[in-house]
Amino acid sequence: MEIGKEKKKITVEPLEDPVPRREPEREPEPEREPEPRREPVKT
Amino acid sequence: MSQPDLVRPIIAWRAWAVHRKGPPRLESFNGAPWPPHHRMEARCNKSHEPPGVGCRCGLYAAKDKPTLIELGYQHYGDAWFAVIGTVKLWGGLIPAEWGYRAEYGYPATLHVPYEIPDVAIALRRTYGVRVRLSNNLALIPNEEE
Repeated sequence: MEIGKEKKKITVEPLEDPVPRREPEREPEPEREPEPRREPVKT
Repeated sequence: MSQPDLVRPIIAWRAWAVHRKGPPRLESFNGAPWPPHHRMEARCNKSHEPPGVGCRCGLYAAKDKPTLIELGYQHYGDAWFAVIGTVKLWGGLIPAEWGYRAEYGYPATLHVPYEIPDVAIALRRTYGVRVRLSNNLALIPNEEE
């Protein structure tokens, strides 16, 4: 790439890391046992 | 210890090659891969830290979108297509008339052609950056991070 006439070299030190953090892998939620069917309460 | 000249990365424009086969990854046009979630580091086989004054080493980027388009880096090839976008540059940096040479870089926002949304999704997941689908370069705003 041609960038033309160059100027004085400078130093750039970002206060924050410019590289995004890797998002943690989400673990799939464990499958739940279906709750036992409740009999309707007779009143 | 010397004081830095800037404490925020420079935002510039560049293009990357993405091969049509295999998992989508960004590459410089010289074939150097841009690692996901790690800064891209310029290398030079001479005895100085890139970018060297009077050398041609360093990560190259254009100062703005019109300059990048004028330089013609957005064209497609047979085995690859070009993804343009903004790049954060830092470390040692040489500003120039139309762009920069830098020591470190990482993509900021990528613009991927509409025809390949699956590539856009893969790049967003892989690099953790914003990815937009856009074919009309004229509609992409110049001022973006």
